Amino acid sequence: MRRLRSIPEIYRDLMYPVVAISVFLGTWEAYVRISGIPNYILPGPSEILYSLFGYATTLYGHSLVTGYEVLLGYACSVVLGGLFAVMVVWSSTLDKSLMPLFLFSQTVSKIAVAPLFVVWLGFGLAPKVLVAFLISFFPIFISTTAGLKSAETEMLELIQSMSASTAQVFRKVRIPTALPHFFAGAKVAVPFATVGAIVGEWMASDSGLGYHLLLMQGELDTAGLFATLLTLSFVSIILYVIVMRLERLAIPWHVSVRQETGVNMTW
Amino acid sequence: MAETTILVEDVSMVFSTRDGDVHALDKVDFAAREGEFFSILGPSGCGKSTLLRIIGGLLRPTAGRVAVNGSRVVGPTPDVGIVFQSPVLMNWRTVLENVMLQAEVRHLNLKQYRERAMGLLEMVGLAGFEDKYPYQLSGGMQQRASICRALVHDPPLLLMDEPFGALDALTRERMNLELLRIWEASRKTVLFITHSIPEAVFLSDRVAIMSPRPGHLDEIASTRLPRPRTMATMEDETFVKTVGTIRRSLKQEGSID
Amino acid sequence: MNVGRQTETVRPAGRARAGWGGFLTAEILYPAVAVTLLLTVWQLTVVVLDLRPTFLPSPTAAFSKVFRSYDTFVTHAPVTIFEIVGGYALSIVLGVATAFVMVWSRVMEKIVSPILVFLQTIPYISVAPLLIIWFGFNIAPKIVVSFLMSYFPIVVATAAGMNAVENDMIDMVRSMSASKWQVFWKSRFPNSLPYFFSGAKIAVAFATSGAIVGEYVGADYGLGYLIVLSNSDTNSELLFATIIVVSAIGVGFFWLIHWVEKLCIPWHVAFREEEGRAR
Repeated sequence: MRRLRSIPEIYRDLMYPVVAISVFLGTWEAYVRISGIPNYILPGPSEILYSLFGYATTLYGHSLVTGYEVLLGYACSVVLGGLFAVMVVWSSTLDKSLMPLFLFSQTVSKIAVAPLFVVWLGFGLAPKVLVAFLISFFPIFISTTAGLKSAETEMLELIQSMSASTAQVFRKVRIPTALPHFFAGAKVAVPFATVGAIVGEWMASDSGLGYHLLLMQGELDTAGLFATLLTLSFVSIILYVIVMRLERLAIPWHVSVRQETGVNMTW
Repeated sequence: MAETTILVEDVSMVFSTRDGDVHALDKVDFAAREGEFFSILGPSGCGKSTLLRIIGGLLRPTAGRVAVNGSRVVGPTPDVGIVFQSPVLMNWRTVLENVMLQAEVRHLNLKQYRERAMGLLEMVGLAGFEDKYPYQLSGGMQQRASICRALVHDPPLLLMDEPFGALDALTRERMNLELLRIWEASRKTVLFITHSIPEAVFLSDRVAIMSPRPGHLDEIASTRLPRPRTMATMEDETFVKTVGTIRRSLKQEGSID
Repeated sequence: MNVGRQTETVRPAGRARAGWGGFLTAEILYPAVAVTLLLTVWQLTVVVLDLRPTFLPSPTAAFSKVFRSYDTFVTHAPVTIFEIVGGYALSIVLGVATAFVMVWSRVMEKIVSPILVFLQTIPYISVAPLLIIWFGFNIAPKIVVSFLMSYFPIVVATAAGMNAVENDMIDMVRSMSASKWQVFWKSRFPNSLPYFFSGAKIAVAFATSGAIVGEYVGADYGLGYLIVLSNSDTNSELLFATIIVVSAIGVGFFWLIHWVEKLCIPWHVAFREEEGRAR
């Protein structure tokens, strides 16, 4: 029943938010021009765009730094989050001994701990990656664990009746069942990793978008601040879109991915 | 001749979806008399539930006319009780609160209807369970509670959409007997949807046979079995014969192989 | 799935009311053992390796610092708590309102929901420097960051819950000649409560982080300020003590929400320890 939606339909769906956002930006610009509010309080969208081009090379350089930190931290989360989830579901001993520690670590605000890593790891790349990792690890780990555990009993019994090994049970049943959950967690974790890198940069750094944010704040260059925020959101969204694409490739059969068939009646 | 409770004239239903139009019903035509137990029998996906929702005023047909108790159906039919295949009990309400939902939404006198609800619960064998939550009941008990909810405001018309379809065969038989007992005591008009031939024959005065894609009523058969009906009715020669006749006509139109 | 639930007997009320035994092992004993072990290893490491307190203070030193610096915390903690409560309360009110509007009107859903998907991916903490420019060093920017951080989980979860009502349930209420408002109030709203609470529990940690980060960027008071201060003074003992206090506040809020949840939705699966049925 799958069929690509026709182009006009996509336009129709996009129309609502595009109109709403245009109205919002227009009102903003008009307000700034008419009220004569000072630039450093609120720059208009046009000015922010202008600033974005003015800072283009600087912002590009900083986003490479931040992007690298985010990517490294996030990659660690994906790998270790998935791995620990498998371990915890594989062995109940590990479940009982590791799980409480993970849950306990959850009660400690990672953002509050960030300054510690500067004390321990210095001013380089390491503390930023670590904070990005720590903040984005948990959503991935928890949702993957839940996913691995959500395999139906009947399905597990079925595969066991084929005398499957534990590894086979995981490969054939548990992991495919867990993939949608894993991706759900992975999507949630994207902005987390970005937040981690930014907070890490705020603690101590001389490059990166987080550093540039504080610089702009210090100079009361609010348009530049907005431009940096936009760049940062852009980095986060690119990563998000990549994860979404991967999800579509990995689990084309899942509801969250497949196109609506259109038939949702109840007869 | 008794009054007509449900009048369905040339009702067609087309759902337009992204994949094109789906013809769910095609020129359905029938009338059910007051106090009659009327069944619609057909394979799954033939549009039975759509028809029931149209009669209940929950869906608007693409073409045709529906009238209940002489007035045309334009929105949710005012005096109707509906039982769905799943009990759709609200798990945040106790059994009694679930039954009382009907009275709350209709702004009826809560005190008075509370007594009626308790009476109904007792009648279906749920006395003492009124303060339990749905998850504490078995599937059959849940469905009984949902029948009480459909009856509590004493509607002249009861619409039942495969109400026992999710129950096991033994529970289902018992529920059928209980439903007949309730119906004989209240003599409501019942529109009953099912895909079980014996169930339709056992319960009904008349059985309408529906063919799928698009749903169409092919034939209406009277069961002519004496009432009250008991387990023994199922061994009655007329019963067995009627079931056989209906099975053959379903086979003829290709609904069963 | 009705398999296995066909017998005409009353089902047991679930193990939730079976007593404290199971709860103690599952929720207290294991974590307690694990945490005690962790703390012991930490203490031994510090003592045996004779680490400098500026590098890593021992847990006993860190905990005792909480009490030794009691006066400091009494000054700073209430400020942060106030910011968290402010931001979190705003999130709940506006979050539920947004979810309601989205579920109520299809046009609003079409406008708001794609924008939300986009806005969700923004790391809101980075708005803090901007807010300092707008509001200054007072508590307003912290409340706003705290709000921005905790708003989305609540909107998303609550809207999902309001939409997760079966069609049959809606039809059933509609068949009672219910108004649109009654359909919402009797079915969508109660159905959304478990979803709302799970969102609210996630959000409370975000609100805490938001307030702390807001204080990182510019503040004279609050626990986030204390963290920055102790960090620049390389006063690791105070830093650890502050982290302990922040964690305690986070856990306190979490349990408060959990308790409210238990009061509001005692009927929910989570509180009757039984497999949720797939419907």
